[in-house]
Amino acid sequence: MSEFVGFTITGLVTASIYAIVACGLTLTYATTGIFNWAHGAFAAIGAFTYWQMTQGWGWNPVLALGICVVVIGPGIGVIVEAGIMRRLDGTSEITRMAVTLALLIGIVAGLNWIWDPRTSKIVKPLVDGRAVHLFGQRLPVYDLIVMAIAVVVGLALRHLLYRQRAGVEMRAIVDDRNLIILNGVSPVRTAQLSWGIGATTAVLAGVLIAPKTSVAAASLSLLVMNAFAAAVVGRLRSLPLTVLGAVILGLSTAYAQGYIGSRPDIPGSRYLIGLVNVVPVIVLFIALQFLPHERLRASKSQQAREISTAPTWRGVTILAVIIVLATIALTPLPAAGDLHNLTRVWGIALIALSLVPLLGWAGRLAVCPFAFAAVGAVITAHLAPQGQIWGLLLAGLAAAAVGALLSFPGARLSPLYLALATAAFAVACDNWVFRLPPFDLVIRIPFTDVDIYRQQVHIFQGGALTVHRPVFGGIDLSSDRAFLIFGAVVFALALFALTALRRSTLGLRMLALKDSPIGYATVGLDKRVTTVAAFAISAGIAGVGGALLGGAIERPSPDAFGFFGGLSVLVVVVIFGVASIGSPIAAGVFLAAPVLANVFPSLAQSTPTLTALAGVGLGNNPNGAIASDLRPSWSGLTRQHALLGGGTAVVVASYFTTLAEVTSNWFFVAACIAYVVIMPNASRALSKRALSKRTIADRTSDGQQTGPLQAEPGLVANHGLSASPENLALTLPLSQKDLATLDELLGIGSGDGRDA
Amino acid sequence: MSSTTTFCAIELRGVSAGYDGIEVLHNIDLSVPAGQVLAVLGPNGAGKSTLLSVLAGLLKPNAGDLVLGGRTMTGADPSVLARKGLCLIPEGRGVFPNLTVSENLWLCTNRGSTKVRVEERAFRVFPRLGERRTQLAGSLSGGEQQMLALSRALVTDPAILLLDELSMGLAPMVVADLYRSVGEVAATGVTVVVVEQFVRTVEGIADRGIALIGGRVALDGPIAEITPELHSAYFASHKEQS
Repeated sequence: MSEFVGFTITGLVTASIYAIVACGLTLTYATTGIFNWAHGAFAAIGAFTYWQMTQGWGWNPVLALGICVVVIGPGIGVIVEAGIMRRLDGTSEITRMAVTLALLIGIVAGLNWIWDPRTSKIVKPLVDGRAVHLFGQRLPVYDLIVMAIAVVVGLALRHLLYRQRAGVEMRAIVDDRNLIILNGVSPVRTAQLSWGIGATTAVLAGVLIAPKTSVAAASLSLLVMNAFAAAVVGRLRSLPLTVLGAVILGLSTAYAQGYIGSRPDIPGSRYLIGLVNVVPVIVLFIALQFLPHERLRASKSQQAREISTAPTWRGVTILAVIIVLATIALTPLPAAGDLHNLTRVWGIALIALSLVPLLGWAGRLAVCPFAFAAVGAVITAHLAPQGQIWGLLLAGLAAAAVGALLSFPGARLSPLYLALATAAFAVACDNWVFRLPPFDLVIRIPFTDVDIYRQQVHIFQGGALTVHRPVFGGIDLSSDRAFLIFGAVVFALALFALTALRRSTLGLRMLALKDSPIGYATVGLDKRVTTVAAFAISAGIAGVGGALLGGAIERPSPDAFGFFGGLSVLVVVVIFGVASIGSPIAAGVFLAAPVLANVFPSLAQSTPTLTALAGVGLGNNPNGAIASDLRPSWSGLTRQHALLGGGTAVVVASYFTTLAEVTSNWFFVAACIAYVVIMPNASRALSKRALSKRTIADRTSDGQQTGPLQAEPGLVANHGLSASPENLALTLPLSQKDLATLDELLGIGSGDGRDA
Repeated sequence: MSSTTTFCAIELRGVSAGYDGIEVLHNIDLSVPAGQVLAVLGPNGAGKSTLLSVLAGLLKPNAGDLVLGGRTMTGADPSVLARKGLCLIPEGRGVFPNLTVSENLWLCTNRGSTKVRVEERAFRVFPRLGERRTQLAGSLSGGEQQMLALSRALVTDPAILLLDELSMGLAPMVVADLYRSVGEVAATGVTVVVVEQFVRTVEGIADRGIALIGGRVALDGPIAEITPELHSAYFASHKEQS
């Protein structure tokens, strides 16, 4: 009995911290419509700054706590709102998720940059050593303080939201931003208040939890993410239910730890120890499945700023040829170590490609690409131990089956809840399933002792898989160079397959499901079929990618397929355009080739930091860099053959001089960077000059036109205007003839009576 | 209709406005004397709601000036205009569906009134809202939602009231009730601009009407005088479009 009381008290203390975190998260979501995946990272900032002030600088703990709560927390909220979140108005749930994930990645990288993660950081409790006795159990005073703070925070937040006008304004703004303005309320001030309070609760939780764990950025962020389960129990809007969820979470974690985690004598305990670590995600998964769901307010129909265009066969063929040829051409250049690292490029790119149909086209938010990839790697290692080529196919099929299974409970969930469910799945795989000890897989005839199949399975083979690189048609692909080229070919084939999918009926159904789930249902289409198909296809591609990534690493551990790694892939894909089949290439190259870290080891955090910086800017550019920047700036080049040919010739020449070792690799890298930067700008400058020259030449001095200017072939049709409609009046005033022609074209009369 | 000696509550001087580079209103000049009830009429896409958005500060004009009560307010923040006494009841249901009736009314205390006083005034005019004060606004009927929206105009004592298609989707009797309340507000000297697609809806309360066609003022005059001409104006615009 006393054991039970002890576990209960421990659970309630944990629940208190979860309640503070989850209430802050709920408040931010209910008042801004943005689910803050970086909430745990805010808590980590609180823990680190508190540690710095108390242990690093020796400040009074109460003063440090005060500074964290009064300055750091609100400061984070205001900065994040003003610098990032304000730009997210009108963006989709995917963009919002990617932005907050980027913030999470960036904060973790930033903390690791400032505070060396290899140094252990211990935080002393606010009140050290003192305790009271309750029901025969010793209860530290610090734990009592934590519980009291949780109660005060919960009551204060509820009072604010329902009993204060500011709180009602904060809730109203999610319903109708324009209407709240018409009520004389400043939405900026209200949003800053929401973010300030939300961040402050996270920072407070970080400070309170710090003495109970080691202060490490990633683990603290993930630990606080456990509180997501409590927020989901509260359906992201009810604070009392959120507190109830926190209590369920805290108690279940404490009982699991007490009755299973510390009892090696119970049957199967070696399989269940890992389960203890994932109790919060199991609670989250159960909460998502069994709680009645109301329609999420943030997922209501709105005018999206994102667009999605279908790839053309011509475009994808050119892209595939460039990928394969460029890979073949580049493989002789890097040093052996760099080439080995680069073999991961196409594995990661394929995993990234798996997100395009699922997130970009079908709008299903799944954040577990690395879990599917790990399935692929495991299957290849176990079923194709000699590197048989069909191992890739099996990897894809097995991962597709897992994806399809996951989609069944996920099909009815709203985008945000689906993202949380898949995150729970990924964390459970990461922390438990992939780390299970060996077990016997037995298929037995029912009611007999006859085994049809018995096989001992050790999923990650004691810590690291052995994935052999394939042998294909007698060609040994075990060398880094051959494997890298093989990866490029597989990726190119996947591009063709996805292009066919996008242009098929299923592709259209996916887009329709994303654009308007209600419209989709009202024309009689079954959401579940398309969701299952999207999941299976996506997981299948990720599985093949995982097999390739496993082959690249050769001895991958579960950490190679960690949840955080998957988040980075997702964020980079969204940065470049989640609906674009070109964006995974960027993800592969960017994440597998950490050039800066190679040259400057102290910049080890440069890749996640750059990812985060680009990611938090997504609000300005929700369509991604390819659709909004790269494609428009490079499309003009295809009509400027001399410039394109000249620039390409310079790069090719630099390639051959590098190959002949006349120049170094850096010279070639510099030439490539110059090509990428200079060519679009030169193209734009030349276009503008040509247009200006032609416009001036075709006008007489009194503004009359000598004859209609012919449109640049393939560029514009000017319909008798002196320039293309969008360029009219940019360089010279409009002529009367232009005005008359415009009126005629628009069918609005002859322009008489115009007073402009 | 506006007299040079009458104080103008609203003036638009050469206003052009639109969205994403598409101009919807073209060079609009308009004066509304204080206390007048102006009906803005016109077919779909004529720019009626855009005109109200400009008046409420929700849309900044590309050209021209907005003058309210003799002061140039072009580009002023809509929340500032609201606090100064301009009240827009937008198209559709201008309520917060996830807040209760009481909480919706609480947000109307921006001009110094108290929550109790605001509820008292609103429930006196619309007793049905009082019966539903703890109910979520989103669960009210269309007419009740519009009553709640209109309550803002009743309890904030606005100097200028802008109404955008109050009648949309409502039964004629409900519309008549709502406009009776608008008439009571107007009788206290409040300047009212009411946008409607059909003249019959507003002919009982409007002093003057303008017809917007293709973003320009096509007709302007006493409501009774312009009514017979509306048909030909609408028809001409339709013919031009087709």
